[in-house]
Amino acid sequence: MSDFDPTNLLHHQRAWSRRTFLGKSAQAIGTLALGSLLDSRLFAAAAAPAARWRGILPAPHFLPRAKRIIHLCMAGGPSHVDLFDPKPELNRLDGQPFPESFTKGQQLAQLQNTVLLARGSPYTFSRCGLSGQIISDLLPHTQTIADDICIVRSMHTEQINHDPAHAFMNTGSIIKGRPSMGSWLLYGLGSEADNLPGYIVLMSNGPGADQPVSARQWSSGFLPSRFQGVQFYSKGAPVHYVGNPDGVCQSTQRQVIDEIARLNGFQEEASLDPEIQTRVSQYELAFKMQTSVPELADLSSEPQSILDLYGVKQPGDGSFASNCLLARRLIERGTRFVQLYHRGWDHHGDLDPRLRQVCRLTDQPAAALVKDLKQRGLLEDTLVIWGGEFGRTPMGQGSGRDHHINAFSIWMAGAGIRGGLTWGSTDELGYRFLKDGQEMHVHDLHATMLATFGIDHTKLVHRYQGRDFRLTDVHGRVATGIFA
Amino acid sequence: MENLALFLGRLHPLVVHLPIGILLLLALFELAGRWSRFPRLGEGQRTAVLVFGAVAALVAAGLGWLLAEQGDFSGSLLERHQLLGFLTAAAAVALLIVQGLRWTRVYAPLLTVTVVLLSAAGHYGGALVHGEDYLTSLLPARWQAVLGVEPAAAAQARTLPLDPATAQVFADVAHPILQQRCVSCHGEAKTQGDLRLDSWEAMLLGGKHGALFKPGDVAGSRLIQRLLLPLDHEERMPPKTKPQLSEEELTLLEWWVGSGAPQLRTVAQAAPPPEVAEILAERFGGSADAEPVPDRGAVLAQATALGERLGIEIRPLSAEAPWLTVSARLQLKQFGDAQLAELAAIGPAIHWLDLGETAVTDAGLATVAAMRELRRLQLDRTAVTDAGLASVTPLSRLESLNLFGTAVTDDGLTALKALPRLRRLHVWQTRITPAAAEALAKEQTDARRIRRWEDEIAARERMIRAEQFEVTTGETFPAVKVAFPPPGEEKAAP
Repeated sequence: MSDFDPTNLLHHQRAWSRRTFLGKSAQAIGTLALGSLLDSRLFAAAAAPAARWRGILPAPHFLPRAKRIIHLCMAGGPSHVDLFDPKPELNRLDGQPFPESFTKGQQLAQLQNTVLLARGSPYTFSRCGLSGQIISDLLPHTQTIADDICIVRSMHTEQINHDPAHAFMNTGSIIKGRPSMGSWLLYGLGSEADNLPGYIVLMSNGPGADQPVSARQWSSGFLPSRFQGVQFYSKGAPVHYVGNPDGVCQSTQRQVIDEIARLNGFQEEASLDPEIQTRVSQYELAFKMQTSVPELADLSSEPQSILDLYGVKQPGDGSFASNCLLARRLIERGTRFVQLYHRGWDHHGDLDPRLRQVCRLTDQPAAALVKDLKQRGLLEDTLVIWGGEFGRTPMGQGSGRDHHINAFSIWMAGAGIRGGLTWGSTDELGYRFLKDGQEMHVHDLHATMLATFGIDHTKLVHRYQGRDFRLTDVHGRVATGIFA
Repeated sequence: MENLALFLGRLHPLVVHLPIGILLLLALFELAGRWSRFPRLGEGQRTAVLVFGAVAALVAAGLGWLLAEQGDFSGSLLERHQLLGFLTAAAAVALLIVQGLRWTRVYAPLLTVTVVLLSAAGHYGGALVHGEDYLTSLLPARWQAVLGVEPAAAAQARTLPLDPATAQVFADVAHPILQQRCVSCHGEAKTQGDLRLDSWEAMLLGGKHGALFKPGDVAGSRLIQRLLLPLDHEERMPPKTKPQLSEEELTLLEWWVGSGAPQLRTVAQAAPPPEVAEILAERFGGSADAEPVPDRGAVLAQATALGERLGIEIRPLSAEAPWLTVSARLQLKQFGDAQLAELAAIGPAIHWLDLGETAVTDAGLATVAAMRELRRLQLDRTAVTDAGLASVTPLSRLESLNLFGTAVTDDGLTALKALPRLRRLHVWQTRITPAAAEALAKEQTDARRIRRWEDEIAARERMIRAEQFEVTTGETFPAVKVAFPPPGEEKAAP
């Protein structure tokens, strides 16, 4: 069963007489409609667990630039006015009432119904590289890659609290059950690797990284669960128990897997549930990961110079640095989508010490990742996105800043994105993005991200409960200007 | 007064639609009135409509005359449009008189004549504004043949492939570009700015702003100057709304003008510099580039089978074209020269080829040498050496080459100089010295294009400075002497 066989499906449909149907109606209600409702190619994926899923799209809609993506998710909301978007006017107003004309009638998170005072940025900024991009001196290593990254200052989102904002950034919706962007990519293009998951999530540990991020952020939603993100442990072994127990060798293990697959096949014959095939393919993948994961996690092959570049003190210590290095190794091994979460950007108070701390932890590894990809030639077809789920207010909140959705900054690099470009802008206080044709809503970011893979975001759709769904819902505009 | 005439003249394209609408509506009513169930026009209504129609036609014709007097348009197309426009107005007035005299027998034929004149005048008016081939260029080829229109593709195909010994720089290279991009507004039929670009002789005459060429100064020649102005500049050609010349077309025109804008000189005699030769090969099919585009269906069928057999990733790059991306990286050392040789079957369709970390050697690269469409090649961490890079030189379309972690040395770089399109080269952890890499980068950069922009920026800066603040001290008027480069040579880099 290397490929989908339509006659086989017809065989199933014919075999179901009225009597059988009535007899099995309890379990059959859902599956009856399957043959017609389910996209035949999706069914093919489920029907052929051994064959690698190669994506629902037979070919990209237009010429792709990217083959892989690394999303450095700075969870908590980095402060744009302190890092990428300096505002002299805000510094001038420091400590004075924030102009009401900006904030009147607007939704705020914890600052609602309080006296709003402007907070200037205490940090200095520099023009960096040939391009002269402006980057905060808090990020000295990011400054060295100024000519390789495109800073987007006009990001904006719709959700003001962490969990829904993460969901919005990942799925384009706050409603549960929508697939994340990594799942959409796997669904659309598949993955090159057949011995590692195509969508892997790593969460770094470290001081200040205490805020939880829900696993629903990398869920596949209504897409089959084989497309969901797989979270690796960032500390110690990425996956536990990959070794065989004493007395079991790989050939025995192989026999077990094959036997389970055969038994699952019977149930699949009877019920036509694609989730069974998901399970079968996961067993197969897990078997392959018994060899691929130890090899992946073995950082001893990395020279000291590379460890120093990333600032890895102890390989596999769960730090952001270690995860960035792991991310590079993952995409070298054919993983389509790697998502690194670093928590600890939620600075409602103590902005100065905590922002310095988190910058110290993330600046060097993120810049090293771009440099390392570049020197290996991987940056040509790897998209790197750095950014949070929202930004932070130009208004002060005690000694910190509150959540802010009307403007925040991210950067993108690689995959034909024009390095050294600053895209979009905000008003003089960094409160709101300007409508200058370069505004970037989360939907626009998704559309642009898919475009780097050659996917027309309006054409990657999945029909579910009678409606066609896509990552960008009914929105999204590709920021064509950021491509070189 | 002059300005008023100008203003009124420019109302012509607006007003002209009134008589068209009124007279056509009248004709429609008369036609429909022959059908018994449709209300017929009363004599009074008919007269009233005709008064409006005739007056509108007269006004439109008058405004059109004012517009033509401004001299933006000339040529046979204008003459035809003008004549037909006047005739239409005259016919409308005649129709009104006929109606007034109740010459019912003459009325219907004259109305028909008016409508025919009106349609013809309208058609030529449209052709005047949008270009003669505005409609016909979109017709299916079969209809074009019936109408006697020469399809653009066929016109070009006649000149392929181009033989340098006999092909003419003007007739076969420069002139087709002008024909395609300029002649619709600067031709015999429509002549804007008193300038015709449809023949070499006409170009020598220049336009209302003067000569097109300035001997020994390519960038100063008006023909090139106008093409290089910023897109939103008033005098930029072609105007913003029209199809633009490509960078290659511009280079070819510059080459022709730079060589003295000759009428009769073969490509071989003009000795094209490498970048021009490359464009010529690309556009007119040199011997190496005459290969046909592979058939997508056949390629994909082969590719799928090969991908499965070799266990490598082969995907189409696009939904329409047959181009493929091939990656053998995950097979690591299980993929070697023997497996690579099997890719020869789909070789002409491969755009991206990733052989990084495989066991491919110099010997295997012979297979790659035949993959003429290759855009991106990854050979990182393979056993490839300088000797193997000789196989890469025929890949004239290669844009990106990854040699990271190979034993390639500075000597290997020499071979890469032959790659005209190479834009990105990765040589980390090789024996290539930074100095040699730097030198190659400098050599491969299109300095000419950068200089063109630098000149443009400098000129704009001077202009803006002078506009903002000009100081005259009366002390320094240094005698600036700029030596023009000898004919045929470009300005030296600063």
